[in-house]
Amino acid sequence: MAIPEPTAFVDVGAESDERPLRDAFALLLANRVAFLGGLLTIAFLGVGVLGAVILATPGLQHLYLDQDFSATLAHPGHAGHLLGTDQYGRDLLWRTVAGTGISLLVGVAATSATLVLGLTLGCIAGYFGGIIDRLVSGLIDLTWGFPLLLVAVIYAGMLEPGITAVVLAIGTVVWAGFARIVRAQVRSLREREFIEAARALGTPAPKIILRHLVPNVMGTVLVMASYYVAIAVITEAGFSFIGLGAQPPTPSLGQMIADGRNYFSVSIWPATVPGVMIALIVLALNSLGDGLRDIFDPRLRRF
Amino acid sequence: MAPVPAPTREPQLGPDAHPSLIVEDLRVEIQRRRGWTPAVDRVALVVGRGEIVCVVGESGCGKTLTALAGMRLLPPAARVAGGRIVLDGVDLLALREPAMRRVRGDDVAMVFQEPMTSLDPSFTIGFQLVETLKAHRRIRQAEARTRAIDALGRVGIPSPARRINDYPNQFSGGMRQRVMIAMALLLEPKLLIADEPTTALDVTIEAQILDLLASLRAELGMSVLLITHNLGVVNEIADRVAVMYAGEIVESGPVRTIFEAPRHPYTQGLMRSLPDLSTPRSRLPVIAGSVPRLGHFARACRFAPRCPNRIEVCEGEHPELVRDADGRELRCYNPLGHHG
Amino acid sequence: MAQFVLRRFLYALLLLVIASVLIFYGLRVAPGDIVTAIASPTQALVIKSTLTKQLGLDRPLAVQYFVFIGHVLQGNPGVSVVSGAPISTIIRESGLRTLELGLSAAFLTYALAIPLGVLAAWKRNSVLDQGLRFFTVLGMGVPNFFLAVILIQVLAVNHHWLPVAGPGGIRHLILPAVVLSVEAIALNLRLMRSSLLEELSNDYIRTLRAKGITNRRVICVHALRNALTPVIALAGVILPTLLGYTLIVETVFRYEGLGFQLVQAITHRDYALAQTLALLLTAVVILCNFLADVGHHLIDPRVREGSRG
Repeated sequence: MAIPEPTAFVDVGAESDERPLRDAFALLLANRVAFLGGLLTIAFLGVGVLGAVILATPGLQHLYLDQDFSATLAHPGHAGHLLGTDQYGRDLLWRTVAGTGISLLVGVAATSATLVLGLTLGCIAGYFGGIIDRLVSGLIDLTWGFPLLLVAVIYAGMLEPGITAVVLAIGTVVWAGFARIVRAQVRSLREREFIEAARALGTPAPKIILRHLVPNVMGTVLVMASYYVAIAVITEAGFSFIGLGAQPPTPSLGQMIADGRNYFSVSIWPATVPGVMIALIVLALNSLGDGLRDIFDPRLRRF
Repeated sequence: MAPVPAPTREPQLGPDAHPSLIVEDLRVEIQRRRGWTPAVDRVALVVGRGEIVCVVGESGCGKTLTALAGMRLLPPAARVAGGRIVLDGVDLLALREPAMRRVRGDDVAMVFQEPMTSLDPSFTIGFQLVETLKAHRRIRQAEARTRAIDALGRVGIPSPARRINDYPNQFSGGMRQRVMIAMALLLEPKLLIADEPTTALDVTIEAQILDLLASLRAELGMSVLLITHNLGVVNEIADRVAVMYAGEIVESGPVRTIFEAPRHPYTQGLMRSLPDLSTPRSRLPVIAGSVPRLGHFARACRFAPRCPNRIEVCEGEHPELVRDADGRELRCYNPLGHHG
Repeated sequence: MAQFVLRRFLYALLLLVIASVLIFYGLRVAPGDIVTAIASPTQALVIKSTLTKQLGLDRPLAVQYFVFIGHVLQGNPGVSVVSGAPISTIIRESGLRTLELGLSAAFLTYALAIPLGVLAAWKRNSVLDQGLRFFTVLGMGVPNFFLAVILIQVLAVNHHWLPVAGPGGIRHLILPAVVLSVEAIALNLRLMRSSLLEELSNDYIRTLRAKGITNRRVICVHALRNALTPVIALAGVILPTLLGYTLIVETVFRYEGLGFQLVQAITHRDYALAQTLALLLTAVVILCNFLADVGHHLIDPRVREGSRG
């Protein structure tokens, strides 16, 4: 007889300690936009892995490096180039795949750094409180709110142009926002009965953090990871666009747009293909993140 | 008795010759997954001038929806599906929204359950009082301020001239409820609807607020419709009481009549579960079963599934509200508990 | 309150000192040596050592740091090694341009996002709301440099409605300002809408309606005032982000502001200029964050009263 209230969707996300991921998956299926975002994200991962393999395998690099001077700036479909070619007659499809590989690599590297740093320091600060908390919070305030691009450009000056600067910049800046969120959640979790019970039983702190706290912030980790990969992708593209990121002949999506814009009047494809690719990746990750957020914690904000 | 023009509408509804508020056959529906279901059904109420009428019932019985319908402030997922709500001869449900806005706060005012969240946290209470006056009267700022200070003083807020510049979070719960009442009474409304005004407060504060309401009623001659789940409150302040169960009124009448001899099994159950401190008892009696959720009402007598006096007809037909000589109205086939 | 401002101010100063040390050492020990960059490998070692002396690069790093900071504080951070122009002149000219661009973008952001966000919440699920939602999704997904490329092509190259690039009058400012603000508009619009809807579900809104306050006033005075708090909090993130985007947007449009100059300086390894610009932009970011903190504190009486007791 109990017909579930329409609000049941919200309630599921509001509390409960050990939430089976199966429920989350069911809810994700129910949210069409998020589901589409999830599908597109999977596609992005697939293309990205393929791109990374091509980049890393010398025998395959000809796919995006081979120049076909008989077909420069060709339109899609011409001479077997599914999406056309750039000004050197290099295949745009394969260049975009390889560029997506770079995006994925940067996204994964930067996001892992962010998550590991943020999770560790956020948990420690939130769990122990006191002087440790104040130290970590000071550290958070130190880098929080700095524009990624500015930091990345300064890093590029310190090191040399390349995507390492972007990864480092994201690692130094974005972790602070994440640590802030984790710290706040851990602080409120700490007061909950099951944590207090574990402490009363004399469970060592590292075990409490790993066994009880970390699983409870996994939802947040998933949500923010989607956003952070999107941020990393768009930052790397912008950074490469101004010439400080991936250096030729390595094809980064941003750098492809920068190259392509010079030939925009002749062919719109060299700039548009990578541009649309970036937009799709970012849209996919954002909608997936929004959907996950609605499931796990509707109050989470992107920043 | 002074000769008064008899109310032309349903005169049998109330004992008072001067009805201030008449609610007739009110039906409120709420939105569910599959369309609209009734949550308040055939509710009729009369509040006489200067009278305090309590609507009492458990949470989910539709009493708050009834109050909100009176203000035409139902949430988007609820709607009035029928009936009339007449205030001093004006059918509120027929008014257009701008006209209804002018009625709110001026002719009818409302005090809510949650004093802690019912005031805008970003503005001083002075601002919120003055804006109420200005919404209804052409009045100069200085004069509005003076009236606001007076109103705060009247509800017993110490040094009102100073407190008027404070923000809501600088007041305690009881004091905020006083501010809410001051705000409601600023324009001396004909009717005050108070929805569980003391539920969120301590018992001592509750008594103070109830005293305040009673004395203001006497002072201003306004009518009060008080929604509560607390029979103690009813006993303390009401002239008449209406008991609601599952979206309809099951028993109503003068408070003495009802308290001395409750007839409906549900009212009787409520009375019995009042803690009586004079006789030691190990356990408070409870009414078996639980309140049906809004929109999940039994088709015949809605109380039948929980009723100790249930007879065959209770599960087959829906009882009507019947009025007796004492002014009591009762919706029950078997108030005396005969079996067979 | 005063104590809070003072504490945040001191913290901002500390932050600035730390940042200046990091920037100085980072850019000084960078691999691409300025001397090597200027003097070609074929040039004599003599020129190199003269240049090194001239630039003071042979002194201890700590001394160099204080010399650098001293010069910056005196308003005389030296000359750009690449263009030969005094850095102070570059900063003055470019700074004004970036200020112009940044203020235009910030103005566009809030002048559009707040009213549109209110409208979207007010006319929830209307065609307008749906349209704005579509815009916000696009605005947050399409990278601004790609948008710039398309807008330049369509509006400037194909139709000649607006200039392609470069600094100049207000017509030169339109495209960069629009491109710079699109994502911020989308973000703030979305936040404004959701924040206002959240406010409208609060108890006090019902009280206001019960008092007979007009719907317009309920939304535009009460709900808006409360809903602005997160928007102002976000400004602390938005303004620095806009500043970061100037690096890209100014480069796309060859708009010679601070961002353009910094990217050029880093690309050409012009460290004296890069250091000064990086320090200046960092200082602006820290100032923005400080002001956002104070502003957040001022607008929210809950926070304000909380700190009093």
